[in-house]
Amino acid sequence: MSLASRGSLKLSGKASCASCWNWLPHVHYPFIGYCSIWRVTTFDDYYCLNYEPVSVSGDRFYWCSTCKLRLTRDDAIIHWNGNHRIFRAAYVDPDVREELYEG
Amino acid sequence: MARSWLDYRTEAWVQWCPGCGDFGILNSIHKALAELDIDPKRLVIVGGIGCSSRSVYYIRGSNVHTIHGRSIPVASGIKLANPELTVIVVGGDGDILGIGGGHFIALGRRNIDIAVLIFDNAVYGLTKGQAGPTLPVWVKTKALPYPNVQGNINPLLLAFASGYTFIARGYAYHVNQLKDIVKAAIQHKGSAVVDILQPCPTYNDYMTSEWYEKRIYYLKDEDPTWDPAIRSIDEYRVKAPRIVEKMLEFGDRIPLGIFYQDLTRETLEDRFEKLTPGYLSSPPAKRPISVDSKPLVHPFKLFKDKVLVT
Amino acid sequence: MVDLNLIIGGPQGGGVESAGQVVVKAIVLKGFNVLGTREYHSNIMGAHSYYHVRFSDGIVRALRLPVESIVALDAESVLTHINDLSERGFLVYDIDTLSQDATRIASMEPSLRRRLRNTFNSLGLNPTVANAIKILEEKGVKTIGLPLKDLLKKVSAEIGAPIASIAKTVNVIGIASSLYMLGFEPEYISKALELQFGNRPKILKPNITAASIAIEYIESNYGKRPILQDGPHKGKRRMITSGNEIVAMAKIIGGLSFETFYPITPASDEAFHIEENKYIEVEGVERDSIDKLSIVVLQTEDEISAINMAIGAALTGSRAATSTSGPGFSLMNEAISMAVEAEVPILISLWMRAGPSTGIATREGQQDLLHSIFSGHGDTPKIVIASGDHIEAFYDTLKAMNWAEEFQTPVIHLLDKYLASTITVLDEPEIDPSIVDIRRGKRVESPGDNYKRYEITEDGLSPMAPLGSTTMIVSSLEHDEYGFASEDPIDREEMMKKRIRKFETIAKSIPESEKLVLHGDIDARITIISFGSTKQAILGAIEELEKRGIKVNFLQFRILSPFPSSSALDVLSRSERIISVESNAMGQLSLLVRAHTGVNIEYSIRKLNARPLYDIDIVYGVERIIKDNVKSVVVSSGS
Repeated sequence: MSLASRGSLKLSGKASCASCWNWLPHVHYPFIGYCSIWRVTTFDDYYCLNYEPVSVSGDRFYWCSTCKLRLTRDDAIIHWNGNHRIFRAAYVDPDVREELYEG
Repeated sequence: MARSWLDYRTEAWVQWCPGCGDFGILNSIHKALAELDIDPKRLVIVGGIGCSSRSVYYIRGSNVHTIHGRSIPVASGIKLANPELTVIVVGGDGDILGIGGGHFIALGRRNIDIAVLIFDNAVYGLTKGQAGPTLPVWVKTKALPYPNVQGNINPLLLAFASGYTFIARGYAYHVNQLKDIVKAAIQHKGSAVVDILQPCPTYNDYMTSEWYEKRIYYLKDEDPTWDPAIRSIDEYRVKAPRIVEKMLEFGDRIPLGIFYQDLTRETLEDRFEKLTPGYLSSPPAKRPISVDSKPLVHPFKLFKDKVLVT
Repeated sequence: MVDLNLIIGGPQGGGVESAGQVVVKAIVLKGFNVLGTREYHSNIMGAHSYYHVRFSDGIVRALRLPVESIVALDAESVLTHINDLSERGFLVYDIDTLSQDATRIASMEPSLRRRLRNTFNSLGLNPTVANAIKILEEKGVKTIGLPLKDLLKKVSAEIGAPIASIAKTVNVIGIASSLYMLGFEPEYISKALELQFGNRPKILKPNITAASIAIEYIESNYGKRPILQDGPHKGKRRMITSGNEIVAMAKIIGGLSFETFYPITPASDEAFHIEENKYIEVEGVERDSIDKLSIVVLQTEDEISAINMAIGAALTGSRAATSTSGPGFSLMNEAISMAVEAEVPILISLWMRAGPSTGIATREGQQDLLHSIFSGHGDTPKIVIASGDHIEAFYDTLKAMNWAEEFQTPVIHLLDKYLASTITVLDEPEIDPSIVDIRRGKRVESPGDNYKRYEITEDGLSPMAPLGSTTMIVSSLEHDEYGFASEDPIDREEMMKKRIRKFETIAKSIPESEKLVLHGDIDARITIISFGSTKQAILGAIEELEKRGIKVNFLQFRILSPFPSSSALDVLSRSERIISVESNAMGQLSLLVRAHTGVNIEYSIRKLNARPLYDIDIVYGVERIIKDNVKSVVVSSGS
């Protein structure tokens, strides 16, 4: 099965951070994310010339922001075909420890 | 006047079976303590439960008899609270390596200055001879209805993997050689373990004195250049493979003596002193906690970060 | 009279904790009393958590539902707390979550998802945020939809340079909106933020900006809000503390020098706070030119080791303690028995949580009362004390350390998850350590030769010398006076009697007033009995019931062992109706009271859903018992 069975980008019909391979959505607030090229926080509707569409191909981990799960490639294909929002990884605040409880 | 080994005996009747190897071990300990001239008031022997743990009643000291398997944590608490004391753990293989196995490992990680003497007879004597953690698989002692179906652990390798910085093996009936090993273990600064092979004539009719004496030999006798001391990481790299090889040897031949003594690693007490200077001179047991029955500190002064002005 | 409640909900790790802390600080700065607690899942990040805060110009005794304000940082928070909002209240939420549907929120508990779907479907609706808003608005609730993303963009634009911490302002936009709606001046919000992030300008600045942008938005869309008058506690030095923290502070102040622990919720935060402060500057004590004293805090390989190590330390004369929760306490049982037999002074802080088994590790329960009293095999009398609130927990810790040493015994200090994670504000005189003198009992430093560790005495207490002071034997076997193991029938009987005499000495030495407290009118014909952290909720309920014409008093059991039988009987025999309030299923206190006094406790109010007990729960329960004449009420509030 082709990995790109979902076809071309549909997200807002625009090449924005929301579908960019270089962009890591915030784990809790996925309309904010971290651009690994510019090394800044951006909003999901920003875009730039470094845009590179997300695709599930390489044998690596992916992040499904719909299910909040880290996925292996095989799992990521299933989520991708279910129209979930797939990313390279999630962005977690480096100081997140301060917000966490003993559990 | 230096103390004699007799000064370390107590009035208690030693309750062991006739022919028990523990008598030899007890005598070695008395003699080691005398040669080191340790003040019995500053000596703490900590035992668990079992025949050998009863040594706390047979050695003059400021001693503690604990519960089954827990001698190492109790001893650790004593040593960390008052590092000036000499702390020795006594117990059997079941107590220290069976029920207390997790604590045995943890002590190695900590490298607290405690000597652990394992009276290793491979059986649970007081409860009528069940298999201990050092009894080899398929051995059927007279006391067992079927052969032992569980394998034995290697106390020396377990100690090595856990981080003990002094690892030795002795034999209960070689009182003088054992005395020297015990002495070295007590003198060592860090967690030391001596696995003492001890025939149990009542319940272990397999690992008897004849069985042992056919097999045992001293590392130094085989190789006069044997030197277990590690003074640098380079020396460790060179010596470790040979040390492990010797630790693995347990069958037709059983080596005795000091296998390993790492002089490079700091004790937990030293680590505390580094983090909180003054720990060693004012350890928990000796530091003041009040002045005229009043606390030394006040919450609103000490915990300023929690205080705000409205 | 100001008496307001709010909830801040969001994903664990999404800023709920710091938002809660900032809100508490703003409230305290504004001069109010406050109580705040965190409710969370046993999960590192992603699951729903919330901060529940109540503030007032009077005493804040308990949290209350429904609340006047909910800040929902995500869709799950709107849906989870849909029933927690008062009709007079308002909801702050993100308009971008409107289309989200409970059935597709991955982190939501499946049972909650099902319940929401059924409720919404019965109204002909899908369980979306938009429909939740509709339902709330129909109830009369004010809903404030924030264009969160646009507001964050504004923050971003105003700060100018690329910022890494923009996501950290989501929570502040929420709470600033809520606090402003409640009538807080913007200065209080920024001051609270300064206290929270003052030493980290890179985080502080965007948060200050976010707060002012949020306030600006509220002002222009909902009008200028009337200012809430300042509370009565202005111009004071006050301390904000959790239950975990106050016990840690008390241990340090009381001279604890050795604490062991194995990680377990909700106890480990206590050890963490001790460790944070394990190297303390002390005035007037200088040894070897060092004016700092250290506390040994050690994480052990398990709870068995934790308590045994503390026992070892205690035998050297150190003040030693360990802290744990139910599962860890189970592992400590054998060592507690040893501590009784060997007569070792040791404090065990037992932070109860919802069992049985691992149960719900991060939630409330009072299920270890009988477990603590009967812990350890053999006859093992010991002291068990339960604290009702932060201030009691402070003094109880000091007393417990004294009693352990005076009576050479294990002391179990019962606390729980609710106290552990509840934050309150205190004034300096409320925790005055000089009230409790540090006492160490029959301690001898130089006992000389021929020392008998277990000398037979009239009061059952033998002089206690530390290890290393002379030759001696401390024994966990039955022993003679010297500590030598002995199976002699006379030795045995004498030692059994000695330990019982000691327990009688304990019972006589601790004043009755410290064992149990009667709150309210002794002639009230209805009596509530309870123990532990339910205290303040019960006191709040009594005040409320009084307003409704129902007179109730409250017998609070402080020391559960030795049990104050005759004093308890005095009060209970005057009462016509006795109601036990406990967060456990067996009615453990009722069983204990019956065992010791013969009084059968006929009525009960129990909370079994692992959420904190609220004052309104008790009001509801008492009214049901009186009006409907039911014997047992299970109260089920809380999200």
